[in-house]
Amino acid sequence: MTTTLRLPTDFTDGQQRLILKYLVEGRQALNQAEWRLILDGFDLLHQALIVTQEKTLTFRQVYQEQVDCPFADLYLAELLKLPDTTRGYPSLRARMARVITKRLRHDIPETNLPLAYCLYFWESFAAGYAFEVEIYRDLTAAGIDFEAHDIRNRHARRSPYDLKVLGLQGDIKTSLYFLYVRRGRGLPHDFYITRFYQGYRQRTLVVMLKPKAWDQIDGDTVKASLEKAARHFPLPATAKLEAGTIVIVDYEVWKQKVLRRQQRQHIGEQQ
Amino acid sequence: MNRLITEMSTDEFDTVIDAYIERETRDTGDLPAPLFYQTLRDIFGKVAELPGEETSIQSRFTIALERVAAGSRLILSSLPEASLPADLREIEVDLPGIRVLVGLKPLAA
Repeated sequence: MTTTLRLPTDFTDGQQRLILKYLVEGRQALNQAEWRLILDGFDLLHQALIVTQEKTLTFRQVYQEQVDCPFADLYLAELLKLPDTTRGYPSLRARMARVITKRLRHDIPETNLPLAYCLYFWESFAAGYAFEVEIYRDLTAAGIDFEAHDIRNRHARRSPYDLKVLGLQGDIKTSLYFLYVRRGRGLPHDFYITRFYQGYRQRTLVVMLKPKAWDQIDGDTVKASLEKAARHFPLPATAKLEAGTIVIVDYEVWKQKVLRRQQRQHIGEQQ
Repeated sequence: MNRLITEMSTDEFDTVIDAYIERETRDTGDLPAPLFYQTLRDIFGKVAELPGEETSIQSRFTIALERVAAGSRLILSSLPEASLPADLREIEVDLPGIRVLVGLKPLAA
């Protein structure tokens, strides 16, 4: 079977080399400019084409057929059985990544780039839902009332937002990629729970909120540049950006404030 | 790293992929802080300079109070020139190590 790739004209050899660098050396080996180019590159590859004698598919369609349909539900069902998703998901994700690789090699042989594309988005998908489950379990343990979409349901997974807290719509994101591809189109949600690491791999969970969402939760903020926001933790920080202002809060502080607000609401309802 | 993925043999690329999958089992996938902030900046546009950075507390509403001691009670009153929003329902007092929230009820007519 002859397979031909048709790559978007905007997708450069440089981006392809950087994707290889990412695969070989990991994201820690990438600088800011390189990471940005890779994100743009993967974004462009959604529309890349795989042409065979039988059919023509975009990379996005290949991912749907070869990865999402057969593996997404299976992975999430297994994920929810894990007592500790944070520690347990990487090996589960890797086990399925190996099966995905075999399947792609069988169905679309002789092509490397669709495999790289599919595995990148598989890794993102798996890490994203592992983080989402971690947050849901943590919010439940903290006694916070929230509504979350049912991740076991494919239709519900595509809901416009992941969870609702205090009537505010939020998303849980391991990576800013999903926000990056929306750049210039504004923020659709009231808040985002996300994470990064700093220093000696110290994991930092943050909540980014629109000011009106923060107003419902309460509290003063320190004005800060974006890069210095986390240095002010536990004080919430306000950063003014071209597209608007965001409030960045330590996740634990956000939880405490939400809990306090909900408790006050409960008391008010009882009176 | 001058190779193109599309020009690599499948055997060679599979070796890369095997190592990638294995390495990802040890990687949380979190972005390093500098990349995180840079990406955020890319998403939302450049950061505007803020006067008083790192020093000022941005209060949504501040009102000066005067205190009057009345026996064992401390009465806090707003200054005569102060005006309060009509929809004020809660007052928050931030003190070192303590945060006091005072709920307000409208005065009976």
